[in-house]
Amino acid sequence: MKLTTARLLISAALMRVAFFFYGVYQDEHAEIRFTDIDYFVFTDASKFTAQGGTPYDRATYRYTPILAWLLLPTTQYFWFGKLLFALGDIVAGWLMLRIFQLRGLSNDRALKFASVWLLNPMVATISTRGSSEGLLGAMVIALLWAVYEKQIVLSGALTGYAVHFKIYPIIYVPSILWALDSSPSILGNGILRWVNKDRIKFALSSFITFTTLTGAMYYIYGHPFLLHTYLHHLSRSDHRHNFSPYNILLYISASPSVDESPYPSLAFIPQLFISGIFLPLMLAKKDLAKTMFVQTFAFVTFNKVCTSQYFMWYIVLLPFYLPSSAMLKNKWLGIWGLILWTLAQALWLQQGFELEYLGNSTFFPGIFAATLIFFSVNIWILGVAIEDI
Amino acid sequence: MASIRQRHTFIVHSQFRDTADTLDLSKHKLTLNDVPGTRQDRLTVTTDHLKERGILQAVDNIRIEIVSRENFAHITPFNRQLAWGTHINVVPTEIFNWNGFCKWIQSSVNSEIACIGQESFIELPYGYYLHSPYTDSSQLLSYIENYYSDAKKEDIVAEVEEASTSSYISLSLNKNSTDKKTAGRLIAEAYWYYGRWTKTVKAGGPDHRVEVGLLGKIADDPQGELTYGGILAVIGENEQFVPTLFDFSPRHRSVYQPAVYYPDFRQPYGLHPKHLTTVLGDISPPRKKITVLDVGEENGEIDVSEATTSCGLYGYYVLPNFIFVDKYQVSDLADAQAGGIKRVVGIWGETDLEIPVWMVEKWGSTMLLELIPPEQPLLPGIMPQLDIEIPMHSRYEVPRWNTTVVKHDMPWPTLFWACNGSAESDMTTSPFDSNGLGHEYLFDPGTMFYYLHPNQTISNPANKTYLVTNLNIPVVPLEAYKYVQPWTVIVILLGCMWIFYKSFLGFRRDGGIRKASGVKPDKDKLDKKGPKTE
Repeated sequence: MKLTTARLLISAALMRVAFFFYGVYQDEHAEIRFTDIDYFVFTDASKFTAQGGTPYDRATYRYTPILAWLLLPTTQYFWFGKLLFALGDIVAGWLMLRIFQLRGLSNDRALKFASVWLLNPMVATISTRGSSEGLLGAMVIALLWAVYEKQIVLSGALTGYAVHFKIYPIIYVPSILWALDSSPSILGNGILRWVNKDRIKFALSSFITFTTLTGAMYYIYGHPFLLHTYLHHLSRSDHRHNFSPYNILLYISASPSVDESPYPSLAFIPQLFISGIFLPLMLAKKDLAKTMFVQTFAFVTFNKVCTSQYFMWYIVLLPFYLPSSAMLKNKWLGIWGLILWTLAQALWLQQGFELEYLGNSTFFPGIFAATLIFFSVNIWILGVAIEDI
Repeated sequence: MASIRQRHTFIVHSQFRDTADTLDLSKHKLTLNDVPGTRQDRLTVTTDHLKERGILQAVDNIRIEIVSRENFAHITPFNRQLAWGTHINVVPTEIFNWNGFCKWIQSSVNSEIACIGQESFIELPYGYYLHSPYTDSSQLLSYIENYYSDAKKEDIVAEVEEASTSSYISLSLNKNSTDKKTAGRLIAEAYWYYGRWTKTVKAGGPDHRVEVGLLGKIADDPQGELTYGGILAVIGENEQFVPTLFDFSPRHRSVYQPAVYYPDFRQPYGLHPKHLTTVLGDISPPRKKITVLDVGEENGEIDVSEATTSCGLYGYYVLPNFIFVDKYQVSDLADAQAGGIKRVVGIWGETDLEIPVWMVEKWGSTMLLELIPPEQPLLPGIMPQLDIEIPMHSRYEVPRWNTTVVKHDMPWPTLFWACNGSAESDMTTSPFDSNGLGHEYLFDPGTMFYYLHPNQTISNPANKTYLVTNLNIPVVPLEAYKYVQPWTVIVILLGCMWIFYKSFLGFRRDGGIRKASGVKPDKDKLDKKGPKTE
């Protein structure tokens, strides 16, 4: 049966519907819930907002209030949020196909590569479990699509919105600015030639959108908004076990057993330099979509905290990298890449399970080694991808 | 009215109340010789004699209790149960120097108690509470001794010193009590569940009344009152013992049925231990519902109304800050009537779900749950077992040398029936209960408590401590730091260098700076002509 756009989108939707109903069943009947704890955080926050309070009345709600507003229908129809997130997946996939078209990829190949996102069980699971990453994926693809459609102001607005939502999309700003070469300069010659119409439009619209949204939320919700949505992410001490290579280092150095160390601040340097400055400058003019993929991959790999939801941030951009990827041209490179990436996670998960459910102190060497191995596998894949672009 | 009242109560078998061998009462003293029994000492000082200084001036209500970790029983009428350790309950006045209060606690109660300021306490509906696992009473006893600066001091010092062997010590001051016997009086109490008492009690003085009572339980109505009788003497006034008989409605009792409980964590456990308390035996309410018949005065009709006596089964958990509950999770269980939980009455204290133990300011949290008692008896007097399962979470612990596990002790929860008073019982308070601050204040006044029996046979007799649940928290050993630091940095730096190297390779391959704009889709168009990949 030939894969068409309609069939792909419908299959993706049906897959998510199936996962959703399975999730309802597992929630009712099994010991471990299918629905993610985050979904209860979002829906509780919406409930408190609907009752006249703030979303921050719900402990561990660390997002923009807009998310709680978007999920207000959950007070009537509890599963509305999952519907919205799954829809976000589909919209992201559809816009992905539009971008492939603009990039000149054949329809057949476009559908195949878009399936990496649309028919990916990991992606479908995350959205139907109630994590908001699908919504974010839609925002990122949308802002990229707007750039390709030459809708620069729209792209800037979507970027401002995405940064307000999740902060990390700010790394796309240098890439897009760097890549927007084609429009006439307005500031004459020399170095200022760099300042062209498109860049001004993009910078202004993203800045205005971001400040308007953030300002409005601050006006309504005050300091708790700033604290939970932004400041928390900057000063959090993620000592609990996760995939990040800094995990064990930050756990020990955050504790009173050792003197205050600069590691939490220093860790920002390689991450922000590589994903926010180096990669955009090196690659954005060659291929914006692929650059955004490697930027995001680098951002997540070098992050001080890393959980499997973060993978969604780069998986949504993976279909753009794949068409000319060395990992597909050289089948074994691709297969090994996938195997090692999966195995490294499995290794960590095994050590994490020992700790979390059996109480064995696997922090060192177990989890420590597993995080460094996973980091190394990711760096290797990232290196292959960068060289490819 | 005497300004100091010193009272020794011995609950002894009647044979020891009659014989002259064991008791010798004279005008100036009473000598006991090897009298076995339960003992409670009470020292009450009225506020005019009270050297009201410092802390006692600044509080409306305060109670400090030290409960021993060694094995002891709650002999009637001393049935009130609470966790081992040091409990500090306080209702401060408007402007209160918390910092100074903590310093006072460390100098007058126990220097080991972790206390910085108000942030160390948790706020309960009735006041502020701090629990500490330490049980050394020597500092508190010194503080009590220092309240007497007149010539009587040496005698009182000797009495107070004896309390260092007791199972329970309480010091309380309630300025606003409605009970005339206790309002505004500083009351120090000590309880020994058993001893063979050989001691001499000397007479007091004009403002110092010394009483000794040797009592036994005469009658015990589970639905009503306790009756105690025996002999009393005021040393210095009575040259002969005076017989006595009195009854009262105690607030605190032990359940009369054999209902025992034993808590532990489900094994194996990791960072999310499930706390399971198993209750066995006759778990039926201690007071029957009474139906009241009322004959209407006007119309002669008979009204049938349900009595006001009703009982709920409760569990009160004391959770030091290395362990906590997720209040959303527990509420969900209560909504589903799962885990034995009927409803969450309250969770107070530090309930943050994410922070590690070293970032917690409060000493911990407490939780009061109403539980679901089983309905149908299996056999007469035997109910189905009740399992109370609470999902808990441990906080990340401070890494330390030479160990990968931190061993903690957690108190057992207190399980009890709380019954509101029935219409006909007169709530005269027990003369043995100082009515100070405590978990009773979480309930309506007039509530009566029936404590279930903690199953001590399972406790570890070798350790001589009981009512302790061990919790092991895995932790990273500090020795790891000397490897973690350099290896993390090395791997990160190597990763960065690999990225730069690969970028350089790609850069060089493309002949340096390329002008191709990222927006024109020429690179992918090349794919159409390039080799097929799939």
